[in-house]
Amino acid sequence: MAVAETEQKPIVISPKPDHIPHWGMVIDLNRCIGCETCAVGCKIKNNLADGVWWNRVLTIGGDGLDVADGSVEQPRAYALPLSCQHCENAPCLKVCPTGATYRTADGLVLIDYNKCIGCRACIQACPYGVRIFNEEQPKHEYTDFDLGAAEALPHEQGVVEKCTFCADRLEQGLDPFCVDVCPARARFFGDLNDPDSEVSQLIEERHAETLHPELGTKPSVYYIPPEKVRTHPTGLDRLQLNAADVVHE
Amino acid sequence: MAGPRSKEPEEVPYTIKAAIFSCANFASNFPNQNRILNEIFDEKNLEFVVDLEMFMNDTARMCDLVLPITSWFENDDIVGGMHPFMMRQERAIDPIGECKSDFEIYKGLSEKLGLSQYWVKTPQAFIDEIIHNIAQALQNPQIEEDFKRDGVARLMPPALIPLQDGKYMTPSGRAEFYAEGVVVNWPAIQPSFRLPVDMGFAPLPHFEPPYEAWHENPKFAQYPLVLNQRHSRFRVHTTYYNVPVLREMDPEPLVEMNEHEMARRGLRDGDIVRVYNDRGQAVLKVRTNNAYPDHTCNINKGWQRHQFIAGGYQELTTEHVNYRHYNCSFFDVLVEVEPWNPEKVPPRSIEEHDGKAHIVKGGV
Repeated sequence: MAVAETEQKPIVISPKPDHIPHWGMVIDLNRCIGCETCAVGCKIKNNLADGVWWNRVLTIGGDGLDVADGSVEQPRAYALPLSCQHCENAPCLKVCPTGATYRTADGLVLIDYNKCIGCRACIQACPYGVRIFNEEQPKHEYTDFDLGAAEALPHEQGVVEKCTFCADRLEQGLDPFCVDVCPARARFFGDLNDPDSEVSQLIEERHAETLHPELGTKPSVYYIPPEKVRTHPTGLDRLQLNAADVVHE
Repeated sequence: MAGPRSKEPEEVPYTIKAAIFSCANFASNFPNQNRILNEIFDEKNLEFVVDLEMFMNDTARMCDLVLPITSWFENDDIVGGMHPFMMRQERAIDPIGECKSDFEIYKGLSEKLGLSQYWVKTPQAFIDEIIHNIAQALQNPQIEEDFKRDGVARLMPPALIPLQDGKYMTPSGRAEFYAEGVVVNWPAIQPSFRLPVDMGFAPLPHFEPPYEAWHENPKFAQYPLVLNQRHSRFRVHTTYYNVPVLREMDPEPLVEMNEHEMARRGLRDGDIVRVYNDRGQAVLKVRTNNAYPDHTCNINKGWQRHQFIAGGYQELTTEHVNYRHYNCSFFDVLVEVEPWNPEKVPPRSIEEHDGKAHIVKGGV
């Protein structure tokens, strides 16, 4: 089981001495219902400050939650959970002047808050927009006590933070919290270096894709694309729909 | 027979002077809110109103007295619902501050009214008795065992097929297409109770248009949008309207309609609009959403009045009911949407004290 800490280079413990896992996630967009349980779960478990989110669920095709895109006759909307992609070829890592952003041997991209100087070059470099900079002192004013896991790190002003693939839970042999709490069972987590792992098999069988592959970031998060025909004719259009009018994506 | 379907109401020997609300956000969830606020809650009609409530919601704001009650984590209870399970609600922490459970409050009131003989058992003893009686009625002792051991019991087998013996709960015992008179809901309770044909119901299946939301309604020319109030993922009715984390993600009420309807009115995303009909209004932001067909719009259910710039969505609904079901028709509503004129409809004035919103002007 891999150990990843923010204050020193990780010690990799693996059942096979010559095998280093590459932790990865698969998200099935056919199952995601946009409920935001993973987003809120992450926020609570990591005791994120007021206004801070590491994980968000966006609506594909619209600017707001559940806003459909497409036409009135053929609307479509899917949900896209989005957090750090833990890229193999992470642009954030390349631009970090202090080495605060680093990658563990088992594939987690993490931030050492002690080394982060808040220059925000990483935020400019990240094409996924998943990093957060704490310009102000992080506030926790909704409750007068801390929330979440005992291992959740304190949040500091002047540094960048983001999803850690729940490194603290991986240490205990647990899945990331978002994987655990998803009520639609849309998230899967495991070893991308193991061709027999569930995630590896899903990627192959379901043709899972990464976001913006053309950028060469090589994310560790894969998405099973929406597969079914989604025409959802609306209102009276349903009466006039012919087979020839159905658009297959 | 006098009752909600009676043509001639019976005089009652007593006048209702007071009301206690519990386990409900009555002023928010029932339709035609202006009538509720201005008529039902008028002091001429109800002199004294009490709310057993956790939060300062629409109902609490209307009441003379709010008694703080326990949340689901602070008292024992037994919970069923529209599913085949009975579940135990277990108290996890002591009640906070001066909260009491509904049970304690009603027990206390009953004692003052000389009715303490009904409250001799503890909640736990009542729960044990209830689950025992359910197990007896369903002739399945397993229910009581499962409940005591696991805190949850399944009342019906998963493979239940209703009416599998072919016996329908009609006077003939068969499915009836021709029914003289309308059979009241829940035939298990009154299988042969019918309203007579002379009350105007045709005996064969037929179509009747909605009460209001229909293009042939003369009102449609003035109010050409059907108003839906979709149940948001972030509510159970109005519960969770005030959870700060959810408000970060879903900060304010919105009225949504598709791009055709937006274009017809010259509106853009983020404009503040007034949604109105002859019963009331709501002032809030508008957003394009092609999920909605032409001639429809939506305001998610569950927002409280103080979360709107003015008015509230429940002002727009109608209390009209029909004889076929026991609920209100919240979507059988027509509205129109126009840009907001703050001089014509001034905003509700909200002050922040201790981080909480207090309505200063503009009423509830």
